[in-house]
Amino acid sequence: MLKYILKRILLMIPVILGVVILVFTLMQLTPGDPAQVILGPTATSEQINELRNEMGLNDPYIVQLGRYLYQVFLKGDFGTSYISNISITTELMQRFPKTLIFAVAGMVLSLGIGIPLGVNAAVKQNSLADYGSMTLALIGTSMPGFWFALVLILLFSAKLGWLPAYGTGGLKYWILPIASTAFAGITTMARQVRSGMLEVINSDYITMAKSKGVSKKNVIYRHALPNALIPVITVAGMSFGSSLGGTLIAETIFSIPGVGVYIVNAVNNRDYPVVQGGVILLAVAFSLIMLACDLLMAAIDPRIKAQITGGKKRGKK
Amino acid sequence: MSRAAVMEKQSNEAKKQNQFLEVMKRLSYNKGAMVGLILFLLVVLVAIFAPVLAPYDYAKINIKDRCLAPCAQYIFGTDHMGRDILSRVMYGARYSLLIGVGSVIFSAVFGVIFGSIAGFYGGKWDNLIMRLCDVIQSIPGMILNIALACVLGPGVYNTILALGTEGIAGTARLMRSSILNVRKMEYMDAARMSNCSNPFIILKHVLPNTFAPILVQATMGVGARIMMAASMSYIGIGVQPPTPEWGAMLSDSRDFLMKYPYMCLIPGVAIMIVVLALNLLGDGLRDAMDPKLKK
Repeated sequence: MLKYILKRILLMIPVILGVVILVFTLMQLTPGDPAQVILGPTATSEQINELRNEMGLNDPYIVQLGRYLYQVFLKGDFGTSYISNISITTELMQRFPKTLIFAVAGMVLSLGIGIPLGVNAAVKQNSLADYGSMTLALIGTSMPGFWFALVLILLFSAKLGWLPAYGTGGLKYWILPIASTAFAGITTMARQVRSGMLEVINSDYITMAKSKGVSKKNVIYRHALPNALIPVITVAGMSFGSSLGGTLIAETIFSIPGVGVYIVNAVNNRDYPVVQGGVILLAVAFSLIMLACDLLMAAIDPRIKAQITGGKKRGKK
Repeated sequence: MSRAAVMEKQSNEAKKQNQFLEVMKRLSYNKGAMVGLILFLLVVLVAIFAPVLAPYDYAKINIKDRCLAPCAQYIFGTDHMGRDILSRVMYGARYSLLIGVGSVIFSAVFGVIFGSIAGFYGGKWDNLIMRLCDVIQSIPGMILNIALACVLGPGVYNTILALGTEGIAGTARLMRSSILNVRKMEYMDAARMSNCSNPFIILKHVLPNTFAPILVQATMGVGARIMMAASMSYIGIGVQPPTPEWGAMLSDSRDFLMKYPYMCLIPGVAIMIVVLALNLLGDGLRDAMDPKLKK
């Protein structure tokens, strides 16, 4: 098992390297000259050329890529913003916790609410509770997150005046943003858990357990649920990814100074090193969560575990 | 098993027809899917006949009638420049459908090509394409879209391109795994023995048999792309106002959220209806095509 974990961690290195190269290359392809952006429209072509030389923009692509990789991996330095001239790494580290709260809260809520909803719907298949929660789930997956956020603001800030519409501060500032990003995750999870549960409930070993006289509660919680939840781990990881994406928009709407606002503003200002750094940071965070999900799955699913440990463990059994 | 394969080859044409009809029949029994299909067709009709149906010119600015709440004259009200929101929503259907369908077709075509190469030829091509997919998929979708939009710039076609590129990896992976299932089938050996070329085998034998998951993914994908496009337009990196795309309309209404909420509710409901219709249809298609549910 330890060997497998090590192997997976090592295998992540080329993927992250690939992400950095991909994002760097994408940003190289963007139109417009950074030197021009920094110096403004009044700069002469000599000034621009001088700055380009200074910034190393006249070097061949490979040299620039190598320099960037060296900076990022060995120094943890994403460069400085073209616009504000502030170190991107410092800025990102300051903003990242806020975005992380979003994404983690989204994942926790989708697990905490989505799983019971889905289980309940599957156990009481074709009941009112099933139809009700699945209709809600369908609506949730069909609604753009940012629009749901606007509706929440209208309802809870404009109409009822219970919660602030934007800004940061105490706990109540977090409720609407988190609710708006978590809702899609909750509904996706509920749908997934329901279909997973249904598949399990109709399988032979559940019939077997029932015919043995195991109580209904035990059948659900001891026999069905653990098996139905294994694929849910991957869904939880994916929901972390989509929460990360959702926060980008939610931060803009609720004016929360996280990584999302930083990236979106940078895109609008053509501040490419910031976009580059932000995208890489979020991609790495996402990859780490997915890796954790994979490892967790390998740890608890005996079928996958057997594949990894090969024939050794099988003999013991 | 081999006999079954031979029989399958013999009655290939008839069976294919049957299979398609059977799927359609099962789909037609699914109420949700039918509701979705009808809703979606309605939206398509509105998009096509927008010039006929729209009561006003969607771009005509009429300062005198600005910010009017829904009333008899303007069923959905007017926006901050006095443009009729109903007409704009109707034209908006064109953009949203174009973006959703266009980007899905884009990712399907390239995804199928790359996935086929990876699954069918295997070896170093498989390795190269799949590792690239790993890299692309380790960036959350929305974030990759924003990065791509940053490279391509705003606009309808660039948004299609960004969303389409983002989806290639997912389709390629799906295609590859379907192909790996199909590759071991006996009819593939039969085709190879009768000296068919590889591209011919892929087109004639592999694609029809791997079509189902791609179709389901595409149906669901259109809805997801419409939502993503709206989000991108909302934060100003997708379609730009005054284009009456729904996300751009929402972005336009941003400053009037508190005062004139109908401006932001109506385009959002339009998005929801289309995506809901596609999700219902996609769910139905998946159930109808899933052989596990055959009883």
